Amino acid sequence: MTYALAFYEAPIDFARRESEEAPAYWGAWSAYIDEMAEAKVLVPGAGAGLQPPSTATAVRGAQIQDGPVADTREQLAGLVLITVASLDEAIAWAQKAPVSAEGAVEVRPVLPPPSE
Amino acid sequence: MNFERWEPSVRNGRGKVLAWLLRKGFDIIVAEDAVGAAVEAALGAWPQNPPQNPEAWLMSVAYRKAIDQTRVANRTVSLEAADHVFGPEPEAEAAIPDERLRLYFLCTHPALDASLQCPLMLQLVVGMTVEQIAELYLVPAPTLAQRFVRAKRKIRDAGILPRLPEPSELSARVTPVLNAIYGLYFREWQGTPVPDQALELASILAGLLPDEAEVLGLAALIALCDSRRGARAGPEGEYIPLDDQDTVTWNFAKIEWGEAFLRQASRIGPPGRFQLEAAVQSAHVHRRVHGLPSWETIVRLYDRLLEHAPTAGFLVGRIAAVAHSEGAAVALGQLDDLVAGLPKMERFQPYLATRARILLDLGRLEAAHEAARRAYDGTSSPSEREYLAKVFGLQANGD
Repeated sequence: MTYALAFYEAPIDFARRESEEAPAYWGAWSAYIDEMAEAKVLVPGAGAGLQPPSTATAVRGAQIQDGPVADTREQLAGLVLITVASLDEAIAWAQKAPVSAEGAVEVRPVLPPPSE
Repeated sequence: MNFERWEPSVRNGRGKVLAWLLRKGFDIIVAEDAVGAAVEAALGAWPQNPPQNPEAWLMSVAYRKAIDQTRVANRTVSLEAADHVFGPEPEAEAAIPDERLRLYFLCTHPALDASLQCPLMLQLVVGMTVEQIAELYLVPAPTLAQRFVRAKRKIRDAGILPRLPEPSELSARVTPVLNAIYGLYFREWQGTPVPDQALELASILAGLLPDEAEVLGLAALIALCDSRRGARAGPEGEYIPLDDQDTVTWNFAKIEWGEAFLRQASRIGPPGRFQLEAAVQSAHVHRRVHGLPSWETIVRLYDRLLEHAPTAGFLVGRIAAVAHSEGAAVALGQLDDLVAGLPKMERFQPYLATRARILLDLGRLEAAHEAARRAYDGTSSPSEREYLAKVFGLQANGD
């Protein structure tokens, strides 16, 4: 099955991207993505890291608003798709993600392709 | 229709067949429907044509139903393709491998709603109906049915497989199973009229995991408690405390059963929480029947139990035993110390009832009466209210 792993980070984690810890932060994420690619679970080209939520724009019909949709402390920081045999395996990959103790990963199966 | 004769085969068989279908790769909704249809077919066919091997009969009928439904669902799947995916139809006399352990772990998967774990076990492992489970948990049946549908869709759509935990994660994964069964037994103990489901779940689990001491400990605990569940009420439904129960009314087969589980558990390793609680129950039973072990021994068992599970109930149970071994005055002092450290004990009904009893033994009638009144207000059990009213001379309906 294919699962989306949505990585949520706290403000402190987004701040690390700009701090002296930035090399360690980006290094951990590259290593993680490489590991998924090597294990052949990563769906190529299907995910991305995201700019911080301060760059987001919420669009609700005609109403355009500065900021992300959900007003929560943890914000979406990136997304990948992986193909594994079961939720347990997807959870195991989620647990390897270098999100800090402040962050979290949401694991969700993707919709199956539409049937005729 | 004479179905009673087949009931044990059906009860045992349905959980096994369901677990086996899931293991074959059928999705849970298809598999459950197929087992239901097979049981219904059995009801029609067996009175005329009794099967040689009821479980194998259920297995092969359920398998065909599951294949049919899968083919209907994915209109393109041919019978050959289905056989290729799920394997050939089982031989009529094949033994079913017992895969029910996977069902337990499926029901208690951490990705499922924790409050639904035990209800799911009752439905999938024991085969209780939604209505029966709803009655047990005091929730409306349609609500529960909806929550079951949601959970099963999540199992199917999120790809939760009926997987056995690795040996390294077994203890961690087994604890929620045990806690869920323990919680279920507590409900049964409180008087919900659906007997033996917890004992059945615990015994099946003990058969599947015979080397896990705490699994055996829980089965022992439930069997021992259950042996005297019926003895707590007299002919008029009046409450009878342990020390006044007529031991003739106890179920000695269950006591034997519990003792056997306990012996088996004690051979495995140092006792854990459930095994120690079972040992306390066993000691109470033996004390009433043989006069031994002593109250001192029971206090020491409580001490060890409290190291694992320092719950309010065991703290109070220990002091009730101290009242016998060291006298009511010592016990009252310990109750005072307990409530000084844990003020919320003041509202814990067993604390109040024990305090009332100890004050009565000390001849402090007025204080006993007051504690009993608060214990009375703290319970909704009519038989226990009646008992408190009788022993402490409370006015039954006054507030």
